[in-house]
Amino acid sequence: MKNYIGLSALAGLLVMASGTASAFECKVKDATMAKPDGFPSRALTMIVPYGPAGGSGQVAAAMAEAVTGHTDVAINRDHKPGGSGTVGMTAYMAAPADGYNVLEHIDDASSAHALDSSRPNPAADLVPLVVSQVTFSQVYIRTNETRYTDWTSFVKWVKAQDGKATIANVSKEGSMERVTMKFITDATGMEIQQISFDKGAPRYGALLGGQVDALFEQPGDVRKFLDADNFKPILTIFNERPGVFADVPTHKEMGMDFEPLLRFRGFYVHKDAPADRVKWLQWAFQRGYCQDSYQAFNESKFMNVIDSYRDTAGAIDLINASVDQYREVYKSMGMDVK
Amino acid sequence: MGNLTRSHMIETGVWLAICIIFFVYSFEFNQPIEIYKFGATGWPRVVLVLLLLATIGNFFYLRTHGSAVQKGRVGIADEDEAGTDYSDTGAVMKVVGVLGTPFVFAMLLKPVGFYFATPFFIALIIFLFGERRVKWILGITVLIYAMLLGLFMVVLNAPLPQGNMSPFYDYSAFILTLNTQLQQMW
Amino acid sequence: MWENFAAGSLALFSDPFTVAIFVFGVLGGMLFGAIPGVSMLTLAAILLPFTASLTPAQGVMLFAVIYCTGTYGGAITAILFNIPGAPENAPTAFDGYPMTRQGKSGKAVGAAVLCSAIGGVASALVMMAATEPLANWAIRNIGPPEIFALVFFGLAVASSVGGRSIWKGWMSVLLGLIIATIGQDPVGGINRYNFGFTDLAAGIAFVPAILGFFAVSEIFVQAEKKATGKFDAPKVGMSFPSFLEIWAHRIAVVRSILVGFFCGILPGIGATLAAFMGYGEAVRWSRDKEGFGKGKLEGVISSETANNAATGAAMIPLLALGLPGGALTAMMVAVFQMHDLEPGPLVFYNSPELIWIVFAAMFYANLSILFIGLVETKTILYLLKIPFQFLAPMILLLASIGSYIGRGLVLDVIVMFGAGIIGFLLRRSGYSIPGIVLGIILGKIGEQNFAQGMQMVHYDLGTYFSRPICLILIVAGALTLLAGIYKAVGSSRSTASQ
Repeated sequence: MKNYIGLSALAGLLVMASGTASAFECKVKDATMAKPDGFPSRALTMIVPYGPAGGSGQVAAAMAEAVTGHTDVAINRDHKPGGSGTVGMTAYMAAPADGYNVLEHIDDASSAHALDSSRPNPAADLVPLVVSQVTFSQVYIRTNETRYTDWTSFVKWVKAQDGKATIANVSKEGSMERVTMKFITDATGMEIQQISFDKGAPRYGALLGGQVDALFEQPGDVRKFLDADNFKPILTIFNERPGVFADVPTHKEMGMDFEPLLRFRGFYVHKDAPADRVKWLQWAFQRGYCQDSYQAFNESKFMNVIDSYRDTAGAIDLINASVDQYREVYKSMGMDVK
Repeated sequence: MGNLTRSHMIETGVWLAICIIFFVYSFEFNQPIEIYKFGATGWPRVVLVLLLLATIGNFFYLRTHGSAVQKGRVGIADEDEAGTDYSDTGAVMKVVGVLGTPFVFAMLLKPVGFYFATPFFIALIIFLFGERRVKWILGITVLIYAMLLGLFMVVLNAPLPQGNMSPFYDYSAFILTLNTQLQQMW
Repeated sequence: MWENFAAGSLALFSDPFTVAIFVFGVLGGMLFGAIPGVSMLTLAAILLPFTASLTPAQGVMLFAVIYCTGTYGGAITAILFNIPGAPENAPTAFDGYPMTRQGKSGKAVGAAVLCSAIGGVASALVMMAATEPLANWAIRNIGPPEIFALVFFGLAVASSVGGRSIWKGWMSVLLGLIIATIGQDPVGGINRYNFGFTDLAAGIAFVPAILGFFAVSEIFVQAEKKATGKFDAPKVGMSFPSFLEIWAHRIAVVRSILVGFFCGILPGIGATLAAFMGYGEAVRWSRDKEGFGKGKLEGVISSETANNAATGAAMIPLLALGLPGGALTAMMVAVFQMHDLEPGPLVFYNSPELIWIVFAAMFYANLSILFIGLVETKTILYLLKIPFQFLAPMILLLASIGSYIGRGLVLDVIVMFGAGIIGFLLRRSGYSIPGIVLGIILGKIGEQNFAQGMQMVHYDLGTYFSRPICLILIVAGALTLLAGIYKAVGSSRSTASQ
């Protein structure tokens, strides 16, 4: 089977060869910006609504390092995990809107607002400084699996199990994972038992040890298992085949006609924060995305496979589109949309 | 009623109340989960039923044995149950003060913040523990406050609660700005 | 293995900065473990951002060393103040604290030093030899049904120790289990028992619960004694146990090493269950069962040997598979990831030098407990001489910071003080505080793995019991419970006939 180290290295080489060394062009031209009235005169506090070890914790660490690296302003990360991101969000909304407090959050904030409009809308109640990671999901099986080897044989095998096949994911009610799995099962007519693991390690261990038959995940989170040739993707849930996964079919090619829901992570500030401070933060974080250390981090997480960058306007569009999409899906699922 | 005392009745009543309140409240989140047969309430309700059974078992045990230790039990925190004399109202007030002060401190952390509330808390606890020499109270308060700030703020940059309310948040901001200036000196 | 170990040792000691980090980890782990109110988890949470500026080997090594010496350090406060530094030190307090009250703190601490070192070194040796093969076995044979069965067994054992009667033992564990349901359900993420408070959606974390039930409630008890004129400063005993005294318990030591290692290898449970089971097994095999809980040296020996024996074992699933076994090993995953590495099978191929530096460091850290531990302990024993009115605010504030740092939630500080008040009220009524704490720690793991196991076997109990390890553990747990019921009924009958 293929080795993804080799593939990603090859993809990297191709990008280099195409003349776009370091693979992207920084969209923020100004390398420096004057501090408005001396802001910030002390360390910023970044509230992260998830633990330090997960995807959010890592992106927060990488962005904090990048911003500090080019502005010399320290950022203390304050992790407030729990309640699928609601606890951190509530704490952030209660913190003073002076620009010293910034927030990291993921698409869960958008889906939470879609389900209950009394929850903060990240596009309206906050100012997105930058969205720095946008990714898609895939379905994985063990590389040494013999009962099925690709999506078609997998669907056939699952149907033969009469509802007893299993797939590991994070299936909180209304989550991106749960909604996407519903799209897939509706479109294929297969019945599969979803098993919810809220932490990554046991989720991947379950597939590795043969406790479950498949795994729903984003590629950056399972990269080590792909590089070690333990897992292989059999379905990409995205409208086109990303170069690194060129031989993995997309859901549309497999006859599933739905718009893929994306996972995205970004950084925000209160909308009431002083405008000049917001401007400086936008520059600092958008420029932080351009730093080599951050780009290297994104590359290591397969976050350069599709365009991961959205500035404030782009982020607002992405969030609004997601909220509309979730709201429609929730209504069609008969969920109580408030 | 065998060996039952009033405190045994209160004890059993508290446990029954816990079982009932938690069971009734479980209807608040009694929604089915599409992928899981037992839903969000299955596990807590089973635990509550077991807790109810154990409470009943305990009630009968108390009735026959009173507070005696069951034969063969090990690893018991053997506190002296009856030995505390609460006839002095001053003592009661002191104990209530010691129990309540940390709780109030914790409740104030969100609006007031760690940096402002801490010195008052230290001084009050020292006072409640019986220290009356003002110089000692002030001296030890400053010492502990300085040690905590030195270790957690200056050395480790730990994100401690800053408070949400003015002027307490402004005080925290002032302390943190001083810290930044201090750290920039080396 | 020995060549790799020698290379790891050389790499560790040839760079002065790495040696400095090693020494910092050894002392920091012991100190934070041994200062009442904070724990090795507090230190680890605070240090996490700083590891970014270290090399991956230095960062992971630092955390591994803190894990070893912090587990030992937590015993000191368990013995001296009845405040276990970490949940795995809770059973150490069962006999350790009564020993302090009898003026035998030196003996208890000395035994903890020696047994932590023995357990840890033995565990480090087995870890070096067995990490790869054992990890591969566990990943295939231990799934959610087995983990649930193990939790069930662990809780059955926990309910049989502590608590004035079996009923109170069970009620304590069940209270812990119901507290653990606060937050979100592990399958659908539905909010449970949040009583209108958003922060409660995060659930009740075990660190503030431990600090509240042990550290804060102990301060409250002392405060009450001061207020009612019954305060009696703990006696400082400096006489350490002789080699013969430890040798007399050699079988308990070996048994605890085995128990500790077996429990430690299992993800999510690790050292805490190891300590409880080490203690429980010591009671089961002892002729003097009644002496436990009243200041018996063997209680300290079995619990401390087992929890340090679990430290090496807990590294196995982490390093070989990327599956952390507990809070501190989970933080190690973050250290790896900060350096763009992932713990897992690839580490053995890509960074063998990192693995062997960590292995060597853990070996020497456990060994150093023996030497530095004795010296440091004598210093820490003098903490008992600080007037309590000055020590109390310090402990309360360190505990507040210790519980806040983990999740950045003021709720955790409130929960800690709430647990302190509940612990203050419950400990005099004969309930088992460690039982409640273990219920809180294992409740969520138990429910999650039960749900996952049920989904996997499609709610078919026959399939569930056809898994041999699962069956053995469930039967062992059920027998423990039945034995408890038998004793309770027997005890009632004998009373009735009197």
